[in-house]
Amino acid sequence: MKYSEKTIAYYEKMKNTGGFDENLCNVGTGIVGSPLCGDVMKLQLFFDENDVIVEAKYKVFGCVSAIASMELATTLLRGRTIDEARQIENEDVAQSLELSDIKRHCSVLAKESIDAAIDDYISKKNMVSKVITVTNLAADRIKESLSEHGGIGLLISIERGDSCSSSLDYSLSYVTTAGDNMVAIEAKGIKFFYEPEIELMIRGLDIDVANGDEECGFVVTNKYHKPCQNCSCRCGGKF
Amino acid sequence: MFCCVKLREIVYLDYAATTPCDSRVLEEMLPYFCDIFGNPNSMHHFGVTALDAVDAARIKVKTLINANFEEVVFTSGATEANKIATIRVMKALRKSAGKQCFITLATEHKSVLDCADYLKRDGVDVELLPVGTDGLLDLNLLADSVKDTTGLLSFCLVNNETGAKQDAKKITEICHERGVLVHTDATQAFGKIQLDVKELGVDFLSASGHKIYGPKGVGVLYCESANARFVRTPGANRDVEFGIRSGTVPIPVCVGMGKAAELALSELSQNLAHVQTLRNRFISGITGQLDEIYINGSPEHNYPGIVNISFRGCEGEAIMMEAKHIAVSSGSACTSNKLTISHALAAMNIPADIAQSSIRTSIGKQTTEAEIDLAIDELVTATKKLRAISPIWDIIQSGSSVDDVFKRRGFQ
Repeated sequence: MKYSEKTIAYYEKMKNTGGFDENLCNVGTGIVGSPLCGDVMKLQLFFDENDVIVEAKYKVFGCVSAIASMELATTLLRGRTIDEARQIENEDVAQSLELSDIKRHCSVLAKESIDAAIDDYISKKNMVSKVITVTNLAADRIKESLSEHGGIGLLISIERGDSCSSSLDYSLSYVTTAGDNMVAIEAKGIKFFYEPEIELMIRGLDIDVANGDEECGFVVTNKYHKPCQNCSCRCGGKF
Repeated sequence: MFCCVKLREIVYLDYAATTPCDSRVLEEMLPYFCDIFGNPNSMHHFGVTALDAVDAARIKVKTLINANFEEVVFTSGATEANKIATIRVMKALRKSAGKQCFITLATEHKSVLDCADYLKRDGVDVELLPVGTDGLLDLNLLADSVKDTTGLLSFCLVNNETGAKQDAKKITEICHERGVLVHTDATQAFGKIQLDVKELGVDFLSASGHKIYGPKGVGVLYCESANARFVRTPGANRDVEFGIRSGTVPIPVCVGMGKAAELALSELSQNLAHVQTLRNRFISGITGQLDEIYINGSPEHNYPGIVNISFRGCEGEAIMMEAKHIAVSSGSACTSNKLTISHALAAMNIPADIAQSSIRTSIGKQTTEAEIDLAIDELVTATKKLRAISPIWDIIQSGSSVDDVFKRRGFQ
């Protein structure tokens, strides 16, 4: 099989191989192809809180052109927004690698993997942000505070509650930066950050404005959390 | 002393594809280009000496397979022999005996399948028989498949991709009992395993020079005497290849074929033992270091020189690229011109991902232990590297079924 020097160069690099935990909220995973056609490509994109691709990794079961196509694609993807990533066309890959006609399908598959990984990320985001609800009033108040104090969003953390053995205390605090391993989601235009390990406990959260004399002014409840319906909110005194 | 095969730094392990000329064969051929160059049809001394050389070569070939002198015809190769033995025979059988049906195996070499396609377009009823996962034909299935109108069966004695060896004697018995003629493509068996056409009873047999350390451009068609009428060209000069293949016989390559056959016969047992030993070394060397390794083809009924081995989790072409210092071939789709998996492996119902991971390594009479050890190292290293980046390997390691995962995703 005669390959172009460019194809061989990308093939031999194999620098961007690997992957991430596909359960992370800010990871999009796309798997395309099948053993029957001889190429299977798995692309994983790691997004930051601004939906920019921080890192792209791949795994391939396929020929030299398939591996080279993914190595090139992942190199191109780093630093791109979703829209910019979608602009990468299979022709870009095919031309850069000087793929012959019979190998062109590898570049097409690479393009499909990009779309699949992005679609996966977006659907995850949509799913999780529906799971946290914020009332309009609470959202307005939070946004006011954020612009006043210059924060980028709220950090959600949890602790075992005092009320009973299954209770959880949710803590919200304003943050100006997010840690590298933090997951970011959005609800009503507000960014929420949390550690990936507590994702299951985030589902069902509802944030509302408190009535009466709650210190920080918000009430956080978890509709899936039984039997203790009301968990108290502690504000951590960061603002 | 025969020639070595150290083609620069790459170790050749694709002897099923072709072989280099043994230097003794080349030496035997050389006088017939410039010195003894006559046309065998000529009456004078030049012609007579040329004809003598062809006849001497024919004797060597017939001795190898226990045929009669007039039953051996020189052709341009096994492909041409296959064409004559299938297309011409079926045409003759249709005309003389009203036979409309031709059967062959789904794992046949492309040259025979092309003949089957041609016959089908010509109105012949063509049936492709399935084989087991070991590549062997079920004899009961064969018996059941034969119809009154079946004229000819063609089968590969040793399969070129897997080395699977059919039971030629029993197949021929079943066919003859039912009035069916038998052709065997013996390209990978001729000169490699013991072959006695009278004992097997086959009616036609094809063989090739360049698979047995002879030159390219020459092959042999064996026609059992009683069947010559099916392949003889009407009106052809019977003095030239018994009226079966016209044209001036290419003396140098026929001499080469004869010499190759002679050497093959005298060295047959030692060559066979040699490739068997190296096959065992190769397989145990690999399976000792890697798991999820599959040997495609029958473990017992095979020609040991052909090893078709799947390195599950990796694609064949990528393996070949990584194993830079060995020359082998693969059954993966990416290595074919039509982007389809090897038809032979597909016909054996080998799972798609395993077929895509197949590498055919074929061992030669002068392959050394050191070369086998190098091949083991290269293939093991290549596999480990490619498995580390393979999503299929991840699926296998997780315990899931590859087929199920892709079915769930809606892929074939």
